[in-house]
Amino acid sequence: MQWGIRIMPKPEVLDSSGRTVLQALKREGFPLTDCHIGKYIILNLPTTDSQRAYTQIKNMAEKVLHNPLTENFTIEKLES
Amino acid sequence: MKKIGVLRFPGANCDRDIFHALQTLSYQPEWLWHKDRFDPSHFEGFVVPGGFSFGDYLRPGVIASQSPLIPDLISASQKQKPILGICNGFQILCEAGLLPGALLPNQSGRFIDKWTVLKPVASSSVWNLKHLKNLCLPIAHGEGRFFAPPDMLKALWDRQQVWLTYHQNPNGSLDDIAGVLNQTKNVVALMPHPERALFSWMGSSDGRKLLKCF
Repeated sequence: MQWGIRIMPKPEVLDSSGRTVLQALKREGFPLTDCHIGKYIILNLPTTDSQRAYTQIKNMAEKVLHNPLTENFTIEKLES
Repeated sequence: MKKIGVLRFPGANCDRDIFHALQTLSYQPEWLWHKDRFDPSHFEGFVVPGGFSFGDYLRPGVIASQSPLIPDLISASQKQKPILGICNGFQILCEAGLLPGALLPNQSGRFIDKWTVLKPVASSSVWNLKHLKNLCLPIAHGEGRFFAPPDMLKALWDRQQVWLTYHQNPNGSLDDIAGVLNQTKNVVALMPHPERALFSWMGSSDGRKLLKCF
């Protein structure tokens, strides 16, 4: 079963890579007002029990995959 | 001679420099491979070196902070052993929960490689640099911007855990913070590299004064 974890910097943290890309895109003439860059992680779990898988993913996200001081995360189940 | 454990992770490239620096200063460094457990009582101190452990994948220092030997480092910290983190070592100690805060990409978005002047702020019986007006040490990092949420930042100042600040903030670190102490003041880390400032021909020998704290 495939799951996706989306990790984004918290809004109160200066996102220097997002800002750099924003400036580059604006320089190219693209119309946009904001840009934030995070990461997306896809995990494959052997269990078909959604509830159980979600709990395991949440543990992984909380323990390792995201830094609670500077990032937020969301979890979604992907079409296999 | 005091035995200092030098943690070794794949991808670190500043570990041999600090090992050599410690030998030069008449300490007895010993390698601690990331997969091997160790007995903290066999050592007088520990260094978590700089570099790019595990390629900085996911977040700098996070994979190293999950290594098998980290529980032993935590135990060493609880036994009040002096522990020094340098650059990536600072990142690893923050991710391992041994130091507060986090290190983010530099404000400029650029990797910065330059000499910096640091001001000693707080100290402890071990990590005491307050007799120095300042220290000249080099930085070389892409993710050295110190961050802590407002409550944590205030607590750092209130509890005298701000160890070093930059005279001229190179990376956007909050409150110009270059190095911090933990609450029990035995664990410290800084973004600059003391092992690259051992002799005046290197540009500064101020790194000696820091490393001699062990």
